[in-house]
Amino acid sequence: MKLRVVEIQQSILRKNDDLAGALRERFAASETLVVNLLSSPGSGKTTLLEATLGRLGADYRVGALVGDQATRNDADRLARSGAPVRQITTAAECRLDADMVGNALVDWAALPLEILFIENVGNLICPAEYDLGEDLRVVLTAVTEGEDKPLKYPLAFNTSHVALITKIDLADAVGFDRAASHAAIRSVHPNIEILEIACRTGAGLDAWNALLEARLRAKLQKSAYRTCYAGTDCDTD
Amino acid sequence: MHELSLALSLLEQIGAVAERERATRVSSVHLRVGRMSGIVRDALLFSWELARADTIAGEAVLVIDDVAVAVWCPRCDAERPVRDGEGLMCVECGTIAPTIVRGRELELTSMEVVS
Ligand SMILES: Nc1nc2c(ncn2[C@@H]2O[C@H](COP(=O)(O)OP(=O)(O)O)[C@@H](O)[C@H]2O)c(=O)[nH]1
Ligand SMILES: [Mg+2]
Ligand SMILES: [Zn+2]
Repeated sequence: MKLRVVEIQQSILRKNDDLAGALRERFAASETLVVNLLSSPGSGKTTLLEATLGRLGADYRVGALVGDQATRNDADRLARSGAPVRQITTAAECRLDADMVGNALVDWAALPLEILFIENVGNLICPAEYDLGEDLRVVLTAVTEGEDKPLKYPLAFNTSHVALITKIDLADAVGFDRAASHAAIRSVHPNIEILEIACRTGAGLDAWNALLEARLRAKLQKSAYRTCYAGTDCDTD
Repeated sequence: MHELSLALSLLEQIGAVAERERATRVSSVHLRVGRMSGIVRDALLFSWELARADTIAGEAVLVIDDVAVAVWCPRCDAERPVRDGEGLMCVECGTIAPTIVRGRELELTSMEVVS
């Protein structure tokens, strides 16, 4: 009998990272823009998706996966937009992972989509660690939550590409300090894109939709370039 | 709380290493857990106790090394700590330094095995 030390140096999240990498390849092949939405419970993810699916759904094949610990309420709300929606019930889990996303895609007649939204479980800590193969990570914080969420949960804001300040219609009512909020966000991610929106009034939603459309175009261009570069299908003009 | 699912995937990784090393028992497991990894140490220890029963690591001690958060400060041109609640700000010069170089670890670093 022999006791010895084995050096390993391996991330415990490696399995998720591998699965997320495989999803990313799959979404590159299907030319799907994938958007992962993160926030505390109640910041307005479902409300934003209701508005977004309704609007972009007229021009694009859009759909959503909704993570929720218990109910189907969010999925039912979103389904009213007419867009294809699937629910992922996570039970005790406080975040979605790449495996859950992969399973939710199985036999989904709506695929391939041009834009897939993923509403993560309402939580600003755990989801930040889990790559879902997304192109765009979007973090939401409502004016009713105060200005310091980024200071309390730096990783969610640090790893996101876009920060949405939601319920801006309530800013005056709650004495929201815009400058302080932007400064807090920029203190963990200086060049993040920040949009102020209100689904209640429609404020900022044009900019949000334009951002998504621009990201989708950029993804398609990259994809066309890659195909061309590989020499299989090169249409140059 | 995803410490339980982490403990389970940790045990999967431990099992794979143990098999590769032809170990009959694992006596200790060493992790590096960053302060910004979203993991609560006590919750992880609790989940570990639950999950390890009847596995090759059934008696193994779990040793967790805490890793403080550090960023790369472009102005100091050096790795620097940050203070909680101040964002990712270099404690030396006050520059916002968004490149996190330490503190996100969730790493199985080593194991002691019996073979
Ligand atoms: N005043 C106002 N309320 C909003 C807005 N967006 C969402 N809400 C409300 O905030 C609550 C939580 O929204 P929901 O979308 O369910 O948040 P989620 O938990 O992040 O999905 C609901 O009562 C919404 O009606 C907004 O732009 N303005
Ligand atoms: Mg919701
Ligand atoms: Zn510095």
